[in-house]
Amino acid sequence: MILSFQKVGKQYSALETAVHDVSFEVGAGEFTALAGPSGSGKTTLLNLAAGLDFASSGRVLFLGKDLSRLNKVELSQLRRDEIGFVFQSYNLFPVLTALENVEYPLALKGISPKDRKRAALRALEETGCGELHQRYPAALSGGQQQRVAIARAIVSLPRIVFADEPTANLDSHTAKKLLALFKELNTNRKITFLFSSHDPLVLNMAGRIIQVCDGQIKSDTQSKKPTVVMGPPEHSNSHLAAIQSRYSFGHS
Amino acid sequence: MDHYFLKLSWKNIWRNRRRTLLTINAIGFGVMALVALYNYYDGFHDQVIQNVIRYQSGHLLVTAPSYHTRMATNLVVTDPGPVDQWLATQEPVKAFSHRILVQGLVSTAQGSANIVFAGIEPEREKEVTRFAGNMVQGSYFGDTQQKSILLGSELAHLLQAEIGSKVVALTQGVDGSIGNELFFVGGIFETHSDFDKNMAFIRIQDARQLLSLSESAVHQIAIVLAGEEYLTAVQDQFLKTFSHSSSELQMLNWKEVQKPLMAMIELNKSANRLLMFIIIFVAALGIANSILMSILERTREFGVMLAIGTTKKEVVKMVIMETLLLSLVGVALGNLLGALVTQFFHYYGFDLAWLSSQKLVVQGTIIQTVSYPAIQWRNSLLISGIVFILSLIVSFIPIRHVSQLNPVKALRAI
Ligand SMILES: Nc1ncnc2c1ncn2[C@@H]1O[C@H](COP(=O)(O)OP(=O)(O)OP(=O)(O)O)[C@@H](O)[C@H]1O
Ligand SMILES: [Mg+2]
Repeated sequence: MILSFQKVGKQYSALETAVHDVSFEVGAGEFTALAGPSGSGKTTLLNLAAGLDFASSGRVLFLGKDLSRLNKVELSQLRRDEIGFVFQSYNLFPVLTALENVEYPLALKGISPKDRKRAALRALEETGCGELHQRYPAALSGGQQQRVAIARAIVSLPRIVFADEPTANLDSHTAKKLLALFKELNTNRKITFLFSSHDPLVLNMAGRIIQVCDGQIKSDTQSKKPTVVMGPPEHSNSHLAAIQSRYSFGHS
Repeated sequence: MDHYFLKLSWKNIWRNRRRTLLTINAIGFGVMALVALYNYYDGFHDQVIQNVIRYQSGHLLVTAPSYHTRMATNLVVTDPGPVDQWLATQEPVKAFSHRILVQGLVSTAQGSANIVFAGIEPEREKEVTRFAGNMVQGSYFGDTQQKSILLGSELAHLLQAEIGSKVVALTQGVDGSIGNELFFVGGIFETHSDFDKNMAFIRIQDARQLLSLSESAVHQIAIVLAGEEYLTAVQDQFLKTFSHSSSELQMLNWKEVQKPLMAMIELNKSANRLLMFIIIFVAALGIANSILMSILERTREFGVMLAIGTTKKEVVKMVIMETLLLSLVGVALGNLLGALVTQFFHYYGFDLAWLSSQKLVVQGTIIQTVSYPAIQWRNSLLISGIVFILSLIVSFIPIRHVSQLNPVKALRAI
């Protein structure tokens, strides 16, 4: 189990209850969507899941750890090592090239420039924008920027990628291709995805849909054909070792 | 953090090119002005000190104790012989000369003035001070047997005296008698200082006669050394040699003699330090402002950084790095320009006089305002260091801002 919400409530103020008594779990290899109209609490749930925000009641467990018990540095490390983030508005660093953007999480980990670059290029190729690595975000289309953002989210082999309305700014054709990429990474690389959307087109491709309405779960449905065979999660204890073994070709 | 974050910080400071250039120019010009000013003042102070040494006290003065404070004409060294012999054996002593100083009235039919008559040994004094090189008329104690007097140019003008004119010197002798002698103007000197109107040179034996002093009596033995660095060594040696001597003697170095001048230099330096802090503080505030603006513009980016696992500490490090890079560029520019300005005035000279209509005079000391500054790395280092320190201190403003960022709110920022 990667993520577990146990009777989670979130109140921003006395009047504003964003999330109320939410319980669900996300297992390894899942391809799950949080669906719901605007203001239903999807972003709030993702923020709680990533430890960016804290539950007012109930518990959020990540890999069995209660997020409210971790200190700030531990939370940062958790996000750096176990979580990938994809945002609605891409949020690439505009002063950095595509390649440098993807290198960012690896630089945080202190991975050497050589391995870092190799891993980042590989991730860019996997998301289909290897050719664009020298470009700055301003010179990329929305779809291309989002692909670079996905490369940045998966480059350090996180256990789970949170994507908050990743296709909301894209046309339906591009959105579809992007979802296919998510799916491919989910199938081939066994990366777990939890994304939010209110786009039926996107939701159609999810393996499981959690319907959120007014901060509560209305339904939680598995799609007919489960898309991923749940295998043992492909993780060694050391992330660094995993990245290096994956990306250092003949390099000790 | 490796060069990745250095590169990121570097790229970040150039986001708003115009703002960054403005900030860098502000620091650059501040640093340039300070470096150039400090170099100028160093050269200026050095020159003042050299003038004092070369026109007045020399490096060291031997007198009767308390002569320097009381200036009474009867406080003489009655027998300078042992000191002369000792000085002749001292390696660092380049030259020395005897002097008698007389406060008195000089007059012609056209006017009179209260001045100091400096009784000197013409040939030896030439080795100690530089008046001999400042003659504009006549000669420096030529071979005339007459009682010769050298007047400053302003004094000569006041007395309407020319070469060969008769002037009368009047003073009170040590025995209470009135000393009254006739001199012939042998030469006129010009130093562009107060000396030109309040000093005259006569031969030392004529001065003794004027004061009714004994044959070998002197007020001062002025000593010039091979270098400033020998000052204390010679003073120590003198103390050892003459502390038991029956005739009481005192040796003062030029710093002790020129207390008011040294005080002025110190005051000058403190004023400069204050100026430096103000200029650098303003420049540092400019840096902090520039960084803060740039941070406020990318609140969401900081939200992203925090969301994808950057710690607050790492974010703060980036802000500090940006601050340091910005000041580094400004400081580098400022030092470069400062060195160029200094080098320019090193060749062409810089005259501070245009800033003030009055002559710069401290107790009659010559202060030439034209100075030829040289690049002093010490100054550049000091100023640069203070820029870094102050900009780090002031950067607590942007640092406080980023360390209080809430990632969720930051992510919602536009
Ligand atoms: N920081 C906040 N302070 C106060 N209320 C908030 C805050 N963040 C969210 N809310 C409120 O909580 C509720 C859920 O918001 P949330 O952003 O999670 O919805 P969402 O499903 O992501 O909506 P959208 O589809 O528009 O992104 C909304 O009513 C919102 O106004
Ligand atoms: Mg949302």
